[in-house]
Amino acid sequence: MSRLTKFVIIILLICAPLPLFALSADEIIREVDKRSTFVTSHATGTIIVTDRFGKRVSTFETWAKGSDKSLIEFTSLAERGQKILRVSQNLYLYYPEADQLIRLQGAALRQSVLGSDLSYEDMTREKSTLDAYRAALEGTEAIDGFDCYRITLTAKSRKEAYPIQHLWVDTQDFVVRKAVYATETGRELKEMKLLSTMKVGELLIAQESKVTDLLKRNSHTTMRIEEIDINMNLADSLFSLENLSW
Amino acid sequence: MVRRRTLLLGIFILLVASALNASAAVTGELTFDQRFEFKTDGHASTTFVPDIGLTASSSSTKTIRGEISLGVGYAESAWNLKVRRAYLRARLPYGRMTVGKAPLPWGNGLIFNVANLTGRDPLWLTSYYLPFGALSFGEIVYLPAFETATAKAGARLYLSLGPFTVEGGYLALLDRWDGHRAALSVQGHMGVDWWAAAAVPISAWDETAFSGGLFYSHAFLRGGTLSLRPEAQADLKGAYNLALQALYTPDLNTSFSFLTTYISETETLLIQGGGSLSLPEALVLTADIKLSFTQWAYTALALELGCSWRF
Repeated sequence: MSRLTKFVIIILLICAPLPLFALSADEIIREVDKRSTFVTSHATGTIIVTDRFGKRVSTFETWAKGSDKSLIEFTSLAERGQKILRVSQNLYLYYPEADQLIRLQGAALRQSVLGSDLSYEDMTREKSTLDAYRAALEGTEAIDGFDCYRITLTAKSRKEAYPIQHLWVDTQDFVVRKAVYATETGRELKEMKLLSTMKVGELLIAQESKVTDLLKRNSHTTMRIEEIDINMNLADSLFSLENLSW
Repeated sequence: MVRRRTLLLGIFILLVASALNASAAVTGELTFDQRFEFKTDGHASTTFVPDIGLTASSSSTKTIRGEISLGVGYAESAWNLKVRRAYLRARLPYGRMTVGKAPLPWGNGLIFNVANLTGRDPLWLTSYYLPFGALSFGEIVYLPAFETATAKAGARLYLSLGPFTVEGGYLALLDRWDGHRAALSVQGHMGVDWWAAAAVPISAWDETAFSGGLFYSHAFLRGGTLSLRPEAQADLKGAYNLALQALYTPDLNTSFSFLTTYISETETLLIQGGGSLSLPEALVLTADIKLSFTQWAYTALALELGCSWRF
């Protein structure tokens, strides 16, 4: 083997892992946001809360436009007609029994939705992650057999519900396979694990995720997207108080 | 007169029912409350209150929707049928219109809310709602003298101004000037949610009333949430009411509540504590104990046990 051949092989071996790190943490997070944010989307789904009393199933329908407008309407019997509207930083609830609008701000955003392990913030958060967090690439790790970037997000301000987030992002499809949400001191609050994915056009998106509140015992929440359509025409008036109280 | 009113009501309900298409969602709620009361004068009583409600509402179409909610309750040795809601709502080229019996909640505040000029119960009304952008709107309302002695008319403006919500309302009795009232309510967030409101009778400024409150929710690290809601109401004549509500939800199914209310005019203090347990299949069990004191002397104790099921 000539010296030149050896040199080329050594260089190739050194450079082999580089493609995995060819992207910066910011670029990876931008790709995650890009692939999970559609011009518009309409989906139906299920939230299953499992606790010591058994399982409670709630169904919902959701519409979204860009990264800052979303509307969720619950369709299951016990909570039929309850809605959550987010327009930019403004979050409103609507209770049909009282025909009442309630604006949620501050700590109230961390309250549980329908007694699940998901908060209002979790359900409706904006997807411009880098506006709110600094990202750092910690390395790579396999999750359920998928190679993932391990990324730590640190909140830029104290108003974020989760000061620290650890994300495991699939190196191929840029779906978040696992996430752990923690306090500033590193105390773990919640864990999200991706259970299944689905194809939407050319993109792979999360279909079923399991969220566990690590501070509670014997409970977890599974959220599943049953059907989703993307990039259809949705009027801006859909994301308004008029439609919320319709 | 009563017959004519009943006929009109029947026609309207049929109209709403015909607007509900075949895919209308029908839900029901069955509630049983058993109340035991013991008074210091030696009088003891038990009351059993069954109640059933049926609601049919059309699925959310883009231009028209309707809802009918009828309830049958047992009170004072008789079953009573009540129209809880019956309304049609239609989108117009600009704004939307509601005709029928519907809730009309104005202002903020769970216990005291002087800006709610129309009361808490659903009312017979005709209203026109005009949105201004996504998060603001105006509303004009006419309340006929259908179940009330006097017809009323009013308007409100709801504005989302950055972190604040500002709501102004005006309600007039149509047959006399002294029943006109104006109200202003503001809501915001500074560490805790807060709101404040003032209601002014136009012909009697000295009866101006104020209400306000705070809301704070704390999620414990080991799970569970504690919500605190102090509220107050006062008027220029010196009367005041105070209330503190605390709600603790240790897990997804259980909640414990505590409410204490003081009414200065009657020097009455009410203390209420209870709990509720939500079970699968939308079944909820509740238990409450209520203690009443007047002029700092204990006057009554009541225990209420309840069960409700939504189907």
